[in-house]
Amino acid sequence: MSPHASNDILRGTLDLLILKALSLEPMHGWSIAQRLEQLSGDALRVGAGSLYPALQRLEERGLLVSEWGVTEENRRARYYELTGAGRSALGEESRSWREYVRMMDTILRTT
Amino acid sequence: MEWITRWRKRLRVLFRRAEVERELEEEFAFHLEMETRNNLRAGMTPEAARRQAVLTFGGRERFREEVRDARWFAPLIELTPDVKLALRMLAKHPALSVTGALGMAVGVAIATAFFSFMAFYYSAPPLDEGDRIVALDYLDSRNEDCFCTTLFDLDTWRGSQRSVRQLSAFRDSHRYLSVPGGTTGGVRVAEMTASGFDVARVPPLLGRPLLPSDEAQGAPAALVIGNDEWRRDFGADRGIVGREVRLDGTPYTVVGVMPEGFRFPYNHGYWAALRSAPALHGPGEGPHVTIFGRLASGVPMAAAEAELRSVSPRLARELPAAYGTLRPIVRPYAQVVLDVHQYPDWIVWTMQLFAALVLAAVAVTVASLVYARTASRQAEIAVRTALGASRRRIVTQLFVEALALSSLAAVAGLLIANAAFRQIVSIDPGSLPYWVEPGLPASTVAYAMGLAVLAAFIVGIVPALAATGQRLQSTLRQMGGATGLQLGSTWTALIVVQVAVAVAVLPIVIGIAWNSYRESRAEPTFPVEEMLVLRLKRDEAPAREAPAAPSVEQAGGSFAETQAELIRRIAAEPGVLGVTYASAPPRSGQPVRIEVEGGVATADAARVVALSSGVAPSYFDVFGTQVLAGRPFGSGDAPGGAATVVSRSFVRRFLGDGVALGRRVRGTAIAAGDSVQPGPWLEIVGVVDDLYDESGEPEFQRPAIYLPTALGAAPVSVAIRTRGIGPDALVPRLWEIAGKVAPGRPMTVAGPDELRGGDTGRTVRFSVILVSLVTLSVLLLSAVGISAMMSFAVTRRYREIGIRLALGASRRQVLQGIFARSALQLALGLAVGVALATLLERLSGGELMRGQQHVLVPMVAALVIAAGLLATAGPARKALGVHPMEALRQE
Repeated sequence: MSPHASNDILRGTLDLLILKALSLEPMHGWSIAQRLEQLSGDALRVGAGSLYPALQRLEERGLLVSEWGVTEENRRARYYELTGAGRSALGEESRSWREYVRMMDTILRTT
Repeated sequence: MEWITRWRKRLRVLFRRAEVERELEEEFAFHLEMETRNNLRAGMTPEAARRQAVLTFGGRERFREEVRDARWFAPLIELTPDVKLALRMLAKHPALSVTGALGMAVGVAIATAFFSFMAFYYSAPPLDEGDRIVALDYLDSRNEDCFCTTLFDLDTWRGSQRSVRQLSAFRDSHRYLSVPGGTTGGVRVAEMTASGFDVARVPPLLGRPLLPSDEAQGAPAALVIGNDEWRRDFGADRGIVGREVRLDGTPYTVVGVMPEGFRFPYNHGYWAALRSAPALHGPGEGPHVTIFGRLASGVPMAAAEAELRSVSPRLARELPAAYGTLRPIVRPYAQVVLDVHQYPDWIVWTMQLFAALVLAAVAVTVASLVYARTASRQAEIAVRTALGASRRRIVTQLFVEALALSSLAAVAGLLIANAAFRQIVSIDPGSLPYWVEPGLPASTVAYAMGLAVLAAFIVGIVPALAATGQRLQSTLRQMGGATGLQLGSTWTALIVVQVAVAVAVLPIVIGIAWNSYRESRAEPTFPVEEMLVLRLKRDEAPAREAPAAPSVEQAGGSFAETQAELIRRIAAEPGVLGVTYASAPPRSGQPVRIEVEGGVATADAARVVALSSGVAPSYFDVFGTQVLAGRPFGSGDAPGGAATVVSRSFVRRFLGDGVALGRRVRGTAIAAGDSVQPGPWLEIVGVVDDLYDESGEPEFQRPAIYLPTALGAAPVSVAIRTRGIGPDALVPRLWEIAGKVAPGRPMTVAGPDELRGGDTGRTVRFSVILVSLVTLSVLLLSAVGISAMMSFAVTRRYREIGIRLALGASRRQVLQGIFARSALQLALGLAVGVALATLLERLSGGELMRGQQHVLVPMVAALVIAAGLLATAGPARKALGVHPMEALRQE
């Protein structure tokens, strides 16, 4: 079923983006969405409906850990942080993403 | 350590769901709040900011679902309602649940017990390279163990083959241990060649193992002791080496103590040298020994066996009488000591398959019940399907229901098997090899769980597929009507088979249970608490060690004089009321067929065997046996005379309770294979009570015929009646006396426990419980099965009944119609069942029900008929109550 396949691609990409967003510092869900929006120059809006399931999935895979903390405005929030496994997964997946893009590019250029 | 954190979280999510959900809610709320604040900053009004944030966020419920789905346990959560529903269904149908679970539990117990047996079959002693230890044995032409390996074979094989090294032998012997100033009691001694310790490769903890020099005739008797025994009987005395103990009155010197956990070769705590003097034993003579050794390095078992066979033709040629029909084999050690080596692997596996099939058969019965129930849930299933539940989803639900049931059954079955196992071990702790742990290994538990899934598959999936597969649409259309599955000849056939199997199998099972119950209930009529029976053995040469005191025999006396002296001395002991003797202990003797002059009075006398034994004149007096008619033996009755005394049950069995005194009878000894001439005619001069009252059950009495006897070369059973002191208190004194009168002679002593039936009694009682449990569950399952199927069959006809009533049929006619069909089904089943039962009984030679089929078969048939008719009556009454208009409206 094709919709599934495209979902999977999106999902995989989102996971990579979340890992990237968290590579600098631990963040809560909303700021992850904000950071991604910023980094993409407002081109990418990540809805809560994709974000939170993705965070759960990544935590389940052991790439993230979450911890309840306090924001600058003294508000309770759940912070997500990369684990060691998350960090190496980020490296790995970035590499394979770049390879994938390069391959696609090569193909698109030649045909 | 991240995985620890991860698993902690996983478990938290699973067990503290409410808290986790609350946190999720809080996280969403925070997100919304931040988004709203962001919108405010962008210049929106508070209301618009909030609305926009909610809009961007989307439906919270959907997220929650997706977040849940992303978790590892999502499939489990999906199943939770199924499990709950399953448990509710189990509670809602208690009869089906209890009988189904009980039946399957017994099935699982049988299958897992057999599986544990397989674990023994493939076990090896826990020794260095224990799997290289093998036993050498002979099978006869029928592939059975002939128990005929002797020291002669050990000697032959030691000299003629090279595949198995360190060839050794042992025999198990029961001895009486007395430690000066310490404990006394019966012990199990391994008489083993010294090389057995080399095979085991376990050095002793203290002292030395047995050495070849200990095996020589005339060498001082050496004894090695096990660790448990050393601690228990000798207080873990480190200076034990060199101490003297007595086995059956013979002095032995302790030479070593083995380390903890070593109980090789079977389950032994004492080791004495097997006096190996093959020159004394010709081929096939002497005691049976188990021969074992280690496979030479690199030699497979098959090659060792091939080498052994190459030796065998020579033996068969030279000694055709002893070896002509024997086939030598080399098998893993465990199989031979467990005496299961005559079964090849495929037989063991086939038996295992059959054990599992018992469960499958039970599961099929339960499945038919579940099918009936599932069919009555057609409406529910149809509605759920209409509401979008996939067929897979519904089948899964029904499977989970069946799995809940079969898992309960598996746990119960494991408990039963475990209890049975422990009971067997506790009756005789030495009955299993020392490396076999009592209890169920993990593999057995896993196997039981596998069986539970298999049973759930049969019980749940098959009926579920059948119920969901067909005519769902039509069912939906007919909703509100009572028609679900169309039941026709298939259902009738099912009922007939169920009834037939019940009638054929149940009487046999009940017969076995009942007979074993009665057999376990033989109460002695003599004062068993005051009695001891001892017996000197003659089957071995007396030990040649220097006796502690001059014995009767060494002073030139005969064995008869030894026995007489023993009796005289025991009689002189304080607390001994009387001493007597007989050629056999109570309840045993030489089996004989009886011939009565002038013909046999009772019909079954020809297949009844009497036990013949010679008794001293004082025998009945000492046992306190009542003389019912005539007289006991007196001083005028010499051995070989024409007078005989018989027991009460003898008169009943052979003389039909007629006048016994003065009748003449004669017996023909039953000996394997030989034709024996009948004995002389004897005249009955007295009738005495039975020594064991077998609850008046003629089948289990052992009719006794007594002859006068005197002390001679044959060993006798000496019966001692005590007064004032317990028989057990007398035992040490008896050994002391025996040690003086007949030093070195093996002797056995049986106390009240043994005379009451002892271990055998307990084993029988235990097996009675087991058999009864099986019977009860099969009985329940059949009765419930038949009722459920028949009542279901009537329930299916509600509409038809209603219509007939509407068309003007009288209630009587309708009832007749209902019962006629039920009666037909029952009658067909009964006919087939009775035929089957008769056939089975005939095939077994009358052994299954032992002539009680005339009671048991009608009894079960009545039960089945009652169950069937009752099951018909209930729904029939209900059906008559259906208003004709209602029935018509359903059309």
